[in-house]
Amino acid sequence: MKFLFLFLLPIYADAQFFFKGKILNDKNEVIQSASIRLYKKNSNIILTYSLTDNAGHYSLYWQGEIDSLRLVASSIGYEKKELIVLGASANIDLILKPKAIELKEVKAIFSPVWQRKDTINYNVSEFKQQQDRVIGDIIKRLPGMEVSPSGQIKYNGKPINKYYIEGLDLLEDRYGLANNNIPAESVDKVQVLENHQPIRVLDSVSFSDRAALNIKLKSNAKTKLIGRARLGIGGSPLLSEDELVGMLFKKKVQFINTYKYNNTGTDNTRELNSQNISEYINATQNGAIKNDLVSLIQPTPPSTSQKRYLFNNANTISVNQLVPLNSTYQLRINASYINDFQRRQSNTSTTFYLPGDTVLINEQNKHQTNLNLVQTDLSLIANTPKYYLKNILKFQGWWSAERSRLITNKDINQQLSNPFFNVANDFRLIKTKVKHIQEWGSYFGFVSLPQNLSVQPGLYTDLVNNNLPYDVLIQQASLKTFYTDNYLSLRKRKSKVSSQYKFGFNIQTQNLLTDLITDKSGIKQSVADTFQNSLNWQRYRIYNENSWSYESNKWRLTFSLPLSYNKIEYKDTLLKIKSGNKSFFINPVATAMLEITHKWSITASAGYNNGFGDITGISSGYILKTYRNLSNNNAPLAEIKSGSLSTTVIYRNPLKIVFFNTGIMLSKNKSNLLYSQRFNGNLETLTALIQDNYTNRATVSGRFSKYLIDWKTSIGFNYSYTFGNQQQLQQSRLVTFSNKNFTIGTTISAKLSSKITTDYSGTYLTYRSKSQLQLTSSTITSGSQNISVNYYPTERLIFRIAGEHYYINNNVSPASNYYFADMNMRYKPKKSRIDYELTCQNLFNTKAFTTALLLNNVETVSEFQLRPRQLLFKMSFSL
Amino acid sequence: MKYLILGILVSTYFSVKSQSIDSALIKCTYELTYLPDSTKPDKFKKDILTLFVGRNTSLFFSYINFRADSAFKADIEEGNITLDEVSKNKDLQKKYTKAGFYSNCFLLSNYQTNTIEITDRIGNDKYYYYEEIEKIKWIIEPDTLTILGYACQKAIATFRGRNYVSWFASELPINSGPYKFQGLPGLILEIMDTKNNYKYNCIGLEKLSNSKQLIVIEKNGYTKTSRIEFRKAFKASFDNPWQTLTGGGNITISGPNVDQMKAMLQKGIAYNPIELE
Repeated sequence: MKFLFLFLLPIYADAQFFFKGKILNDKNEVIQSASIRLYKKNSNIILTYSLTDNAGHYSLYWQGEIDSLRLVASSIGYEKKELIVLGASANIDLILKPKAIELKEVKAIFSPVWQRKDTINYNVSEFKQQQDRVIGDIIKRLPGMEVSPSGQIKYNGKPINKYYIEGLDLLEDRYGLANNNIPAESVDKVQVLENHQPIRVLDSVSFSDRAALNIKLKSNAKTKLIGRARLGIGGSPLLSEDELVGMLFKKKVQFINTYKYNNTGTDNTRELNSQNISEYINATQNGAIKNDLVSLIQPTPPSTSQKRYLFNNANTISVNQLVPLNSTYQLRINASYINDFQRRQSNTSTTFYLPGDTVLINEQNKHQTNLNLVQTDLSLIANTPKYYLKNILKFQGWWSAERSRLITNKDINQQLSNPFFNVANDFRLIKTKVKHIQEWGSYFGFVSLPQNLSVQPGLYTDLVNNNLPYDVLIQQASLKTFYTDNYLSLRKRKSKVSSQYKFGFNIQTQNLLTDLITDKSGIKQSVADTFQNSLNWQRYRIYNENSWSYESNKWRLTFSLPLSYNKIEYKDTLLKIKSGNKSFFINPVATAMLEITHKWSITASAGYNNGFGDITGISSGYILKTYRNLSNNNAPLAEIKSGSLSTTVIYRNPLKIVFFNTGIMLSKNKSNLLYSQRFNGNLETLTALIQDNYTNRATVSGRFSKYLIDWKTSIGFNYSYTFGNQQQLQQSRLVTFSNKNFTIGTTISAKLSSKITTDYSGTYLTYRSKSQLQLTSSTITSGSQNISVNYYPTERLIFRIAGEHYYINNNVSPASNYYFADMNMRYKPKKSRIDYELTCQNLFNTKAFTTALLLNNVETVSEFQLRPRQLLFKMSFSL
Repeated sequence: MKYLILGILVSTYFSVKSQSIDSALIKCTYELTYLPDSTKPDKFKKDILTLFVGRNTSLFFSYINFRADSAFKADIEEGNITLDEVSKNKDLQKKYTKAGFYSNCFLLSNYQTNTIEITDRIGNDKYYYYEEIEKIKWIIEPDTLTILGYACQKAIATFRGRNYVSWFASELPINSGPYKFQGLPGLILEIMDTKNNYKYNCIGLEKLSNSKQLIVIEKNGYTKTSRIEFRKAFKASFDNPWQTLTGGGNITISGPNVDQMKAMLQKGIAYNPIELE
């Protein structure tokens, strides 16, 4: 630094300084907008300043007690120049030397989550970790989001109503396909569309409290085919994991087509499941869901991750295509085929705590399933602001055969042929008229479930064959259902109040045929009339559902009042008995939502519901539901009344990235039928009797999640407490059970450094059950922890190590701990489209796992066979 | 002779180019916290803005709006949505229309010509106008503050009806800053009005070496106007957004709830602009 002493003048008490001059660069060109500042000699406080004009001129004036000052000239891209000046006036021209800009850079930290109007955007790159392959890996980590093991996505506690890809609905409710297959690196951001109404016509008339998800792709992913091919081989035994996935997301044409095969314990069938709960409930009521009449006894799957106990051999194919027919109509095809051969081995002990008795059943079970499942949905869709049409033609076909070898006090072989067919057409048309919106809906469905269970050797000779030995016991059961629902609805909106009036009718006709047959040396014989059913059932319902809602800035109130006239007629063709029931039901529901502030909202709802039971509740002949469960109904049609009350508080703050919800739900059910449980050796007989009884239930639950921007860490915490009671008749005594379940869990996902990321999740739960006959309650406690660490030594290499710990304590066997470890290594050469992966699962080679369950008086402790240590090498090629 | 003419042509070309096109040397990112409605003193909104600083010019615009805007453009281009649909649908309008919205403007300050070129929107109409760079009478005060690791000094001034406190870093000899604030001997890293209605905080600083980022402003499809005319229409778009949306005649709004929407829009939106005069 050069110091120039220009003037030496006598000291005045109040010196005046006046400088002017020109600032030039080393080429003698003027520098505009350069800054010239005056400081006290040893200070950094600017006294006064000037900026050069277009001709490079500046002028400075200052008056003060100081005699010597520091003059500094600088400009962007030039070296700073300083000189000491003494009180006076002077003409100072300065020449600045060019110099590269030096800057202490500050990286702007953008919130990875931001909100615009009703849309919350998650910047994917901020949440992406190097090991993430598909978008689902990231979504489960996003604050406010929750993905259940079945693949259902919830936003702030509520299931999403749509999963769009670039605004298009390719998959309807089978969004697992997109979530599990769209490459993480193709996605730019994930958007949450709050209060999303998927039907555009209804956008301003019908309020939705649910959110939709929209996947925004990077621009380079929107024009080309996205593809992936994978080959995997390993042992032992011989393992293979292969897949071929092709996807295209153009402006209007989209498709996702997949073929996958594996026998490594990876469940690829799950991504083909529908995630729409309300549709599921509807379909259950229509009889369109496969609800087995007879089954092979199987313990509930263990609480470890499925890959540890799934012995599969599964091929899945899916074709999903969306094509525009013209500017209004789109055609969509969603078809899938599953072929899976599964094996499962378990040792189960089931304890029934009965008044004055305890029944213990031990079963050693080798179970096999061979499943072929075809599902196709062909949809014609128009979704414009004035017109909505959706017609879906659905077909579902199961061809399934199961086999089981069971060792209890006997050696029992069972076979189940288990097919199911469902054809349905669902039509919905919505049009805007001058003063209202009109909707027509029509649904037709036909369902067939012909099942056949055979049990070898011939059991219960005293009951079924006059104490004479025989070979095979065969339960035939077939249910055929035809269902139709048709309605017309009108919607209106007047200022803040909108109303809907819906009129419709539905008809369900069903036919149930069951027969218990003994087979001795090929001679088949029906056991008796009391083990047969031949029922014809007709249900007619005429309904008028009206609802009103009020919507202001803060409030949303909805009240709906469905009125229905129900008539059920059924005929037992064996007993030649005709019977039925009819009733007028009012099932009101009221909900209120208050947006207290932008961040806080509260919802509450109350409802009352009446209903009749279904055909399976009136079969008076015994049905062998499993090899050790005979059940009949000695009662008229069930009548169920239920009331429920719930409230939820929701907090969401995308600015700070905090999401929180907590709620309470109360319900009370009244049924006119009570089930009586009776044991005769291992054979459990269930009979329905007329007696009013109640089931009560209360659940408190909540979930909190937050993203710490500075720490690049997502944390989550959830809890749930359920308690309730229920009545049962056991060995002719009325027993009330109270059940209490408590769960807490936490998740942490952190980027510890640019090279290490880690995920942790922990859950602790307890089940408690007690009846008035018991002095102390039976308790099961269990806990599980998962931790995984990813280490990226370079951009192309990933090491992953994961550990799991389970703790189970039950009443039957001593407390036990289980530990698992997995390792994984992935390498992607530079500029290569291929990556290589080596996985080792179950390093400690743990071969069995015990799970305990408790409900009312039944405690089940099952030990499952696990997949042994396995090594797999995979090569993935991506396009 | 030939070469001489060529030489003149080339040099004129370059001089023209250097005048009209400047490339950005530094990128500053500001967070704006503002109060859209002065009667609701705790309902702040935020925006992220970018300032590109070149040798003689600077460009200032809303990064978030730019990002959202390109998303909207993309939606249109990809056919996810049509303009017609936007014009007919209330929720889409909420999402996309720009009535009663502050952060649509782009400001290009040229310190050579001493003018600011401004593009902005009212409803769906696009305008541009020029303004002279106003010499802000800054009073330098001795207080200091360290912001983002830079020693800053305080300066106060009045600008178009509001009193401001600003902090500038003389280590960064850039006489520019967010919005129309400039004229200090260092980059303004923080500025807020004394009523705390508008506050800009610098949250990022980046050097753009070999910058390909040009400082240009898109004026295609924009109509020329003046500051006075624009301010009138802008205020009107808050007082009566309905008029702004439908007045042009290109947009007709229909639907079952049109009356309610009209009433709501005619009621107006709170107006609290950064420039009071």
